[in-house]
This record gives sequence, C-alpha cells and structure tokens, in this order.
Amino acid sequence: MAVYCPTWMPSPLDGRIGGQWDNGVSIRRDRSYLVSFLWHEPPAQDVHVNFRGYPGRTKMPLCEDDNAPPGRRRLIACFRDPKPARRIGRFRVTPYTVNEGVDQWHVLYLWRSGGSLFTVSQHVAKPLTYRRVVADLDRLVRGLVRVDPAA
Amino acid sequence: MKLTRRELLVGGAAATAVAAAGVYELVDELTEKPVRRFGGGRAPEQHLLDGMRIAEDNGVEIVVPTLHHQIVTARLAPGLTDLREAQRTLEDVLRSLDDDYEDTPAGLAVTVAWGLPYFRAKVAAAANRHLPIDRRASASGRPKRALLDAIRFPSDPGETILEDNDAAFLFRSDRFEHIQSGSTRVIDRLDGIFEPTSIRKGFAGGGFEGGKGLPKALAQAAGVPGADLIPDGSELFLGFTSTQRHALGPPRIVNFETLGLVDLGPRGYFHGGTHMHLSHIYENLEAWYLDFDFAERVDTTFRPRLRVEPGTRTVPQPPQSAASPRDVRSDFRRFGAIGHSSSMQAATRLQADVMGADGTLYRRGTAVPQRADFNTLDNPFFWSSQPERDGMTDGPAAGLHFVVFNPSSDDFHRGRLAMDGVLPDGTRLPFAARARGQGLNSVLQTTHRQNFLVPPRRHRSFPLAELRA
Repeated sequence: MAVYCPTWMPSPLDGRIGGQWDNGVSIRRDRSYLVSFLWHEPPAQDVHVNFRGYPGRTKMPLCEDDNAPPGRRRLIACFRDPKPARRIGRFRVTPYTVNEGVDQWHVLYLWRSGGSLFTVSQHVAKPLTYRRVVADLDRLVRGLVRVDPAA
Repeated sequence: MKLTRRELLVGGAAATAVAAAGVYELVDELTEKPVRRFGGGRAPEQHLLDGMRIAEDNGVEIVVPTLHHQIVTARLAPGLTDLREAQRTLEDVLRSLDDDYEDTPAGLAVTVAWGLPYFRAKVAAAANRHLPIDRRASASGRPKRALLDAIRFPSDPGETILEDNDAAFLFRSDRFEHIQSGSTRVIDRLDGIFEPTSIRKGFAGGGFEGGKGLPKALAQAAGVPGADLIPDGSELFLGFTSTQRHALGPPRIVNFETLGLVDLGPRGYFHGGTHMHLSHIYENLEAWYLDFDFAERVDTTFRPRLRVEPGTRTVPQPPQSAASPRDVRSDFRRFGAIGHSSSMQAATRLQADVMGADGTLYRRGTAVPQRADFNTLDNPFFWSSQPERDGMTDGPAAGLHFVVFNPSSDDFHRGRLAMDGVLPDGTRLPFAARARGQGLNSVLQTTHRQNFLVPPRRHRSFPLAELRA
C-alpha cells in the first residue's frame, strides 16, 4: 500500500525513522501500522506526532475502552468527537478531538484514500496549545507526499 | 480605565481595580444587549433579580443570565467601632444605587452578603439570638446554624482556601459600565469602613441569539488553552446550559422561611434572607474537550447513557425525571460513573410536594438551589489584597466564580457532597478524588470557598448592628 511521508514536521521533530526523535514503528497482524515521533522534556513537555495507516479498509477502527467498569470489556471507536471535514491541499480530512491509545489527548486528522484509511495526530501538551497543534497539523498534512511501494 | 494585568497584580489599589475592565472590556463589544422587560419595585429579597428574560433552546426554557458579574469581598477596617454609623453609610450608598438603577438586568442588582467572621466579631450576642437555625441539620444533634463555616469536599484539593471575609458584594448587570460605576461608588464611599480583599469579575451567556457567546469569544480573545474547543453559543465554558428553568429553584424557594428547613428565631429578623456559597474553580478546558467525547460529557454532566443529539447545548431536566439516590447508585454500578446533575438531584430536588410559607405549592422534583455562577478569566481573582496567599498568577485562566443561593449552608453541603458521590441517604460511592467517573469533577479545581448569609433587603447593611447591646 501507499504511505504518506511528511515534508514538514513541528520542531524539533524531523520525521526520520531511526533518527533522534524516532519513537517507534509497529505493524500489527492486520497490517495496520503506527509510526511515532516524540520530543519529550521532563516533566511534561511533549511534541508528539503519530502516523497511522489501515491498509485495505476504511472503516473506523475499534479500541478497547480503558474506562469501562472493572471486569467489563467494551469496544469503542478509536477516534471520536469529529469536527466538520476540511479540505487541506489534496486531502479531505476529518479532525477528531477525542482519541484512544497513543493518540489520547491528540488532535487527529483522518482521511481515506485508495480503499485505505490514514491518520496523523499531534499531542496537545505544553508547550503547545490546541490552536497551535491544529496549525501544525494543517501544515503537516499540506506537505504530505504519497509514496507508492516499489514494484 | 485600562490597566495591565501586571499593574493590577503588583499592588494596584482595590479602588482602581474595581473600576478596571481588563479583558472583560470586550464583553460589550461582543454582545448585543438583550431586550428586557422591566419590573416594578424592589423585592424584599436581595437575591432576586426582576425582569429576567426567558429564552428557549432545544425546546427547553432558559433563564437568561446577566452578562456581567463582579464580586468584591472585604474585611471590616481594623478599629471600626461605630457600627451604626457604618450601617447608615452603607445603606445610604446602596439606596442611592437603588435610586439610580432599575433592579433588572438592564439596571444593576447589588446583593450584600455577610460572613461568619462579621457575626462572630461584631454582633456576637445578637447573632446568637437571631441567626437562623437549620432544623434538618440540627435533627441529629446539637443545633446548627443556617450559616456554617465552609468545608473542603472530597474532590477539593487540600490547598483549597477556606476564606474568612466579613462581607461580599455581588454586582450583576447586562451593562458593564453599571457594574463599574456601582462598585466604585460602594468601595469609595466605604473607604475606612471596609478593606477589600478580592475583586472577581466574569460573564455568562450572550450566545442564545446566535454567535459564539461570551465564554468562547472571551476565552479565544484571551488565548486560554482549549478555547477553540468550546462549542459556539455555549452559556458557559463547559458547553452546556446550566440555567434551564427546571434546573433552577423558583424565585422564593431559597428564602430561609419558605421550605421550613430553617427556624428564624424569636423575631424572624432574617425572614426573606437566604444563604450564599461563593467559590472559585479552575476549569481545565483541554481535559474536558480532549479527554471526554460528547457522549461522555453528557453522561457525566447529566446522567450516564442519556440519549442526546450530538451538539446539543441545552438538555431537558424536568422535575419528573429527577434522579433518586437509588438511580445514582444503579448508574455507578452499571457504568462506573455518575452524572453531575443526577447525583445532585437526589439532594437538591424536592423529594415530596411542599407547601411553601409563601403559599406556593412546590411539587416533588422541583429544584431548590438558585445558581448565579459565571465564567471568568481571573487567575484566580481579578485583584487580591493577598496575592501570594490567593495564588495570583499572571495571565488569564478559564474558571468559574460559583455563586449559589440555598436555604442553608448544610443544604448546599448536601448537594455538593452528592456531586462527590456522598448521597443524602448516607451512601458513599467509592470514587477516588476527582475520578474520571465523576466527569466534571475530574477537570475542576476549587481554589477558594466561603459561605455567607444574605439578609433581606431591609437588613442588608450591617445586619444586627442596631440590636447590639
């Protein structure tokens, strides 16, 4: 499947896998992937960006609800509280403001392309504000470049 | 008058701060004044405001709150001995305001409330005789007054300051200049009688006719974190309307005498009076809007699994659907969460029909407390005489100056404890302090609390001073 690579990242992140701010690449059995970049300054300052892809499917992924009553298992949409969809460059993204797992407390942009679902999210944490994160994501998405798999 | 926040924080005089506008100056630029119906005469009760407008949203009647609010807390000047003269001076300035302004949102409403330090230090003997006794709170032991010292609640941080002001002046109006002028006149005239301890300013509503509403517009203008996440038109920062007609007590239900909760003593001196709780609460807007989705915000603000259309701001809370302690316990067992409103309804709604002393039949499920709270960007106050103790910090912060009228301190405490899962039937739901299942509580941080007595208008100035031996 195609992936989307950034040509701009919020400072100090550089988007280089294996680089200084690489926070891990993981691929699940369903072939969905997570690529994460993190700058962390103790005690609580973060610049944290996650890229996700769900090859071959466009349905909203489901996550375990961490807030279910003890002993009960509940699945919920991984990305919730959608805001009106927006056109950013070549992408029509839907922003989500309540997200699960490593995207918790992130603003997340979701788009569908070629039968697959993609997201990029950024943490709203000091020194950043919600407004700044939205501006960062707008710029980041505008600069995304599609990279198709080599034959 | 324009002062920078820094100028205010580093020791600006109260008399200057009381008239300063700061970021709140924007309020008049961001709103159109609602058209008001004017009422005639002043009610015997200080806490009532005539001519409140009723609007409708989502088919629910809303009492439109006044746009502007200001509170000045104060201590009596050291060495003040001539209380009768002070009484005449205060009454004189209050009457002059009564003469100059309608007692409606278009004019100016002034409510003077008195704290226990005043009653203990200045009129102790008369207070012993005339301060109302809370019959219900006294039922299981020694007599308890309707006015008690404030307490910290389970979800309060240990640092919450329990204040000891002698008095508090609440100013309400749709016109900011009326508040500026009125409060300045009071403070100037009472120089040498009172020493202000804090000035607190804020706003509410402004979005019922469309637009962003004041909370969002002012939070955005101030650059408060999470401001952009506040839904357009919200009455308050947290996105839901809190002044539904059914969620507020009817006008005289909080009078000491109305529900029979309070024994007014031998002469009924405080007949027509009530109790006021005042607190300041920080609100973490980013936590509220980034960690709770809409359904969770509804669940924890109202009741778990309540079906509400996404984007709804005003959620019906009719008397017939008021929750009982049993409902709250059931919600906790099933969902590990309780609703802010439903948990409190067990303590704040009438559990049976009551024929009030005013001749009104108050039906089961009727709300008792009358909220007069308002959002603020104070951090935590606009001005403080003790900036270090009060934690005065530069820059704006989203918060709430919580003002509510109840028939007694104990009545307020019951409702507030229920909000923390301590129900009036004795049930204690095992929540950790500010647990997520408490929803609202998990994003709130109370910094200050105090209880006050609001005398009837005829005794609003230095109550009991004329009876002092």
